[in-house]
Amino acid sequence: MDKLIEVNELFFRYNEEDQWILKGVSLFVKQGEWLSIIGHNGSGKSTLAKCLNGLLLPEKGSVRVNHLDTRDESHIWDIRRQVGMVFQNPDNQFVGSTVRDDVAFGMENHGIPREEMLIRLDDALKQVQMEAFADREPHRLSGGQKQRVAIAGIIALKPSIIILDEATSMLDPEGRSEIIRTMRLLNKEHGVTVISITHDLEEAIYSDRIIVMNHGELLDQGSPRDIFKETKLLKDIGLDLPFTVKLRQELQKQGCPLSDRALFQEELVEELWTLRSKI
Amino acid sequence: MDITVKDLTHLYNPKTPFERIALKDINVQIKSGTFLSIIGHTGSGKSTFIQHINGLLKPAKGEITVGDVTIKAGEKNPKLTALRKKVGLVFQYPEHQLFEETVEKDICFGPMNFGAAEEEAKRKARDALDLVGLPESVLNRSPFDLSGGQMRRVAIAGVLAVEPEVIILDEPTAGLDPVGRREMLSLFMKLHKQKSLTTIMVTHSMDDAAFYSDEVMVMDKGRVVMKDKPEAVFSHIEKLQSLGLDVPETIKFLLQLDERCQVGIGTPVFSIPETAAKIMEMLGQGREKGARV
Repeated sequence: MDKLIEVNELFFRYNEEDQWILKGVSLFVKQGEWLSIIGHNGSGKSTLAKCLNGLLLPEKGSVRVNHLDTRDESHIWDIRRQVGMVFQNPDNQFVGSTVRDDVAFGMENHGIPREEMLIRLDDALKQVQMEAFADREPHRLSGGQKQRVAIAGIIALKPSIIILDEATSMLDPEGRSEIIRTMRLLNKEHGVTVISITHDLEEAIYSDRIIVMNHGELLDQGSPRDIFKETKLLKDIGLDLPFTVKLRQELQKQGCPLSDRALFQEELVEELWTLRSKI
Repeated sequence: MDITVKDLTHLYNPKTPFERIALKDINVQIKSGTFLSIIGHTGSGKSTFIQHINGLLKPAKGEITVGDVTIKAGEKNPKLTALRKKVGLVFQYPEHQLFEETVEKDICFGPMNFGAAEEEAKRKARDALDLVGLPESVLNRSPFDLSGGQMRRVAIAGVLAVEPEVIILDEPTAGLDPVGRREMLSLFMKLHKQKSLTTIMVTHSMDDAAFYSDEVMVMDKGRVVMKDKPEAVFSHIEKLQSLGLDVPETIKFLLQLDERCQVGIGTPVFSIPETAAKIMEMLGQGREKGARV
């Protein structure tokens, strides 16, 4: 198991007079996994994400990306190239006047030679299926398309990790599934490690692993199946449950003899179907 | 307050090479006291439509009547102050529009803008703060020191302090966590009933549209495609999907189950308890059928 990011006893606050936003968080991110970080508003999720690519630096403890410490200034550019970040608001992350310029911007910043840039540009746009839009103005695109262009700008830099910081929360359902589809492809086919900060539990159940944040601390981590077994714990800290879990519990309450296993809709359908044929 | 929209058409960049139809021939009646949700793809005209209701945008054709105020294409606008006082518009991410030094001043801005004296405005601010469930102790704090959820409540209190009769919400739960979302929606539900408001909510969440509304209006390419009770709208599953829209989770699940059991899902339901009850019924039905064979 290759640990791509290692966070050790991380403490962070915005000002010395303020309270800690992150209180001794330790975690790791494995090569190639899809990791979701959930927690209510103000639990420290987004601050944690910004610590992972050195946008924010720990006051105590450490964050290491590929063994490089984010506090080491000589490595910060390498770290930011390796850990790309897609933010919430699709309108706040454009600089170029065309999609092509915008995707090239990051590469120019990192001093990538022109010939190489042209190859990567086409490749990146293809991977997010936006090649037909290369000459369009970014602000005329839909929300989902804008976020895909933002992702193209990141993958052109050949990162090992992409962090989605609530990147789908301002999109309509179609835009949301566009982004998830694109990211799954990058994760499965190209081995990009994905860290998704999200409120969308229907998205989180598909991750390899989930981390639950609460009041600046890491409360729990595990597979989606393990995490959503602790239904009381999640409710106590003000989190919701995935649809299937809620429906399963209600069915049990109404006297349906179901197991505690189903997490995906298909699983619950199968179990109900089996029950019915037994009756 | 009744709202009547007749043959409303709106153009973006009129009389330029970039002219584009934003809304086309919209005819809609919203009865006083209705909770209406508007759903549609991004760019379907939802936001353009709601901005006509308080006179922020003017129609290129047709007319809008809200209570006793009518805005007509080609005619000079009537006095919009009265209209804007009665129609409160809560934009997306309303907390981005907070600007005063204290919560109290921020909430008082609206009522004083509409002519209330300072004392009266302060009283209204306290009432509004109570409505959105915040303690009076935040009145003297800077709105920027509050949490995101609290800031949004302050912004909403600012709209409520004007005592509108119609309230328009543009994706009021965007960016909130699941519990914050539910609290925000129960808040609007409570206000809707307590104050006998007419509520219009633009949302991307089919679940919220189905669960909270009396009526759901579906927009596509600047037109109104459907406007009916949630049960009726969410029976047209293929139509919604062809418009790039989804159906509520409860319906998605029932459809999957029905694919296996083939007993039909009947009238759509949108709450978890109702869905569970329906599933029990579907399972039972299968058994009876089996017995007959």
